[in-house]
Amino acid sequence: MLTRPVDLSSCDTEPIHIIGAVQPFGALVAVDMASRTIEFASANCDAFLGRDWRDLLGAPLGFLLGEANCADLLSRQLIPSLPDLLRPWFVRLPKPDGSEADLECFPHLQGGCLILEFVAREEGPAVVWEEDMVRQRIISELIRPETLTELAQVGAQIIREVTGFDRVMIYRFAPDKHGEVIAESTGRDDSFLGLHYPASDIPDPARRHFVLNVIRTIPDINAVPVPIMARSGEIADANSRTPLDLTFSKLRAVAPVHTEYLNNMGVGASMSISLISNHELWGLVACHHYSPLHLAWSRFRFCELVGGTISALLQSLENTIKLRHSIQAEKTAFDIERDHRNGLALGDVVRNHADAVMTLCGAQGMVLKLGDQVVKMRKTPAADIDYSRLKSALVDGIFASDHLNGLVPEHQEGDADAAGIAYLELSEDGRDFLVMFREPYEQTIRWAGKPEKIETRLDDGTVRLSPRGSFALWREERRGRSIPFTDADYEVMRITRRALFAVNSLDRERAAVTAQRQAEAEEARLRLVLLDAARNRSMGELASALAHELNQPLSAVTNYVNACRQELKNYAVELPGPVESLMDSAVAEASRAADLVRRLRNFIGQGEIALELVDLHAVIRQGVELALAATSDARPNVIFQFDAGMPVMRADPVQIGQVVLNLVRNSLAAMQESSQRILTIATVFEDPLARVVVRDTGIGIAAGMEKTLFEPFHNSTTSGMGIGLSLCRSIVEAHGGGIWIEQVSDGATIAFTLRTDGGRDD
Amino acid sequence: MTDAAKSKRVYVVDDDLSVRASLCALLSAHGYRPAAFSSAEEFLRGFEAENSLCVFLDLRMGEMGGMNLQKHLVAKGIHIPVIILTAHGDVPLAVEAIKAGAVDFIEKPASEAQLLGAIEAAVDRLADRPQPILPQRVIADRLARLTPREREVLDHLILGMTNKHIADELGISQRTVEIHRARIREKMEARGLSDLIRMMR
Repeated sequence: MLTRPVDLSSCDTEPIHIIGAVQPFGALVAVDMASRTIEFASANCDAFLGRDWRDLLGAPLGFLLGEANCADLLSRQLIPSLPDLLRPWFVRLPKPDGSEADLECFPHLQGGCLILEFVAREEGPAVVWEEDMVRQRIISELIRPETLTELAQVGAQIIREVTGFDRVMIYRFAPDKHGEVIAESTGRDDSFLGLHYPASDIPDPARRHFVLNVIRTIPDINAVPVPIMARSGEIADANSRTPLDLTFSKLRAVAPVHTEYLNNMGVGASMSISLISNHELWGLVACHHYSPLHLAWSRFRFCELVGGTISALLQSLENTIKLRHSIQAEKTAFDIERDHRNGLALGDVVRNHADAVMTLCGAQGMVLKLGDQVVKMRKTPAADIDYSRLKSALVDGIFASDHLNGLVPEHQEGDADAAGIAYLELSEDGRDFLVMFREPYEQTIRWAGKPEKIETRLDDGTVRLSPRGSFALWREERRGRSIPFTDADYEVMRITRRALFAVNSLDRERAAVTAQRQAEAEEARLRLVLLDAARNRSMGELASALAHELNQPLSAVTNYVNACRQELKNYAVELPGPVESLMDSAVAEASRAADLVRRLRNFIGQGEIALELVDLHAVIRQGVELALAATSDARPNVIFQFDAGMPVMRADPVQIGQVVLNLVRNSLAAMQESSQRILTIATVFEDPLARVVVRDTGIGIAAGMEKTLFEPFHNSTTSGMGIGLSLCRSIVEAHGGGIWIEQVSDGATIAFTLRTDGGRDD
Repeated sequence: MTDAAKSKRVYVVDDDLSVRASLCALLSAHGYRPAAFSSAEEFLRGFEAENSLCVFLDLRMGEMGGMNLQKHLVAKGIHIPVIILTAHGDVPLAVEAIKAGAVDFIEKPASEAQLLGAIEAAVDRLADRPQPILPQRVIADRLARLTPREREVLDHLILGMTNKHIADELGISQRTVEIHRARIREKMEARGLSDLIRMMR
């Protein structure tokens, strides 16, 4: 009945709390609280209480306890609480034969039932010894360790000494529920230290019980369980109409699957104490004895107390470690920010602190990507990985997984350098990031002891798992995975990312400012080039114009003097003394003046045309932008009507930009008073000429100006020397084109042409 | 100078009154019969093709410049020797003008000798007397007198490049270019750029 065949797959659903039986080292009686009637009794009541279970069922509670004990019991705190062994109820019960039974009782309420569990009371004065132990060991030893494993080790040691178990192990459960033996105290040769167990080794119902019922003892694995009988005559198990909930029972019988598990390991007695931190099952103290082991209940109480103390210390130690870790992370973050303030770029900063960051995050390799720059450090995956897929999984800019292979298929399974990944986004646009890698879990496991046979093969051929077998199973389960990322890891990554993100933002801001400055400097330079060209051109134009204007009268003077001399000769006038040479001097002086002018012009130069292949439209846009940038007027509506078929042409971009700049500047000046300000620049390709038309809605060009507008010194504006348009004309002519005014009814339209092949046949 | 030549008209087309008047005065003094116009259009309306000796054309005038007028005359089949005058010293245009058939290209202010020489050349042109074309051998002899650098400058000059342009191109100063030009004129026995262009044609 109680030895159902083991079905491992049913582990998680096994109703272990309504198992309907107790271990034989105590007796159980359950009373309906409303009627105070005994509804359940274990079949071994006779041995502990001196009364047959059949006599007890249906009897009132007072029948068993006597009225005084009954009143005492009901005045007690009966709701289960932790630690629950520390308030034992020592009771003396009258037996029917007149003798009395000295018992220890664990009463607790479960649903509407008061469950009473009776065990034999311990003899002797152990209490004093225990108090001494508590003082000595807990106070002096348990509080000393600074690491979790040290604490666990001391705890395991104390418990083994107090209880005499052959082996005391402390498991720690990872977030994924799998367990690891972090401490062990044993007198045996083999060691389980460092072993990992799959989460399935401890089914969820069992875990739930571990939280609710912190201490559990099985003094004899193979002791035959005692059924709990209900008034109906049925056994109060899962199949009965009235199963009894033994969740908080101390005597609850062992589930067959667990019996088998322990038997496989050769364990004869076991005890477990739950280690609970922050209301969660942090770990377990597992005690194994290789033969049955009956301990006094005072020892259990002591163990429960040590367990509770370890739990509390664990919690504080874990918090301290977390805090220390965070502080270390903050320190590194500070160092990063300081280095950055001292002028190092982010890439260098990360390189300098790579080891610290990796240690903090438990990583063995990193890839830093900043824009196009990719830096790899230490162990990184062999394959190139497209990390963009991870972006969707980001929470607050961080994503971590212990199973990279499950995320990106291009990652090679079995890559010895990277199994887990942490992705830290370092910019809003997601272009920059830091990826850290954790090596496969297997590589990080260091455990004591020699490998042992993994499984037990029974005579019938069935295979049974041993602890090593579990470990192998776990290893298989974890293949290709890394150590999982914990809350503490996330905290560290948050701190690290915050610093790196801030530094990167600053870097990018700096870069943006620099780029902006460069752009501005480039624009300023261009403007200077244009202005310079304009000045040069203007000077050249001025010199040319001056030369023209001066050469004309000089020419006239020369001609007149020469004519004069000739006429005198024609009329045979006798020239008095020095007159002949005076005339020669006049001509020579005029010639000298012309020479001076020529030199001046040559010196200033005409601003040579430097032909190159240019995109006319880009040049026009630049000219327009420069003209607009140079004015304080509001920007007019600028319309570009560009001929899409315009070929790349040979021209001097600076000079053409100058023409556009001049024309647009004139247009802007003309539109200052206009209500509607529209500037249109259109281009048409008429092979081999490019025609550019600049149209505005300004005051227009006064009639009669058309002829002289392009002459130097003929000024239609109120400022400048009036050589702007003359300058345009010489530039356009140098490009083999022409410039003219188009007759329009309103505003002004100036058109010019350029040869797209450069104009000159050189 | 034949009387026939003197009886023909020498036209002066220039928009500058003083230049026009002074040139006419000089031409008259030398026995020519000048006629002045202030624009290309006026000239086209008033000139007598049959009775033309030559025409002095200012390079830059109002709407139709000397070059355009020259092209216009060529296009119309009017054979009238053209002498280009300029106050600008546009060397590239000079080259173009000579290529287009101008008799000469003279920078203002021009010397008496330059002006009269140009007219003589025009008379020769009109009489269909080919301008004295120098035998290739003579030109080759003269070219042989040039230093490699001078030859280089000459090659650039006849392309119509300015002194500044040549200086930039050859990596020398403008002043040096001027010196080279003077030497070249001397060694090539050329009166000016137009001679050089003709020799190197």
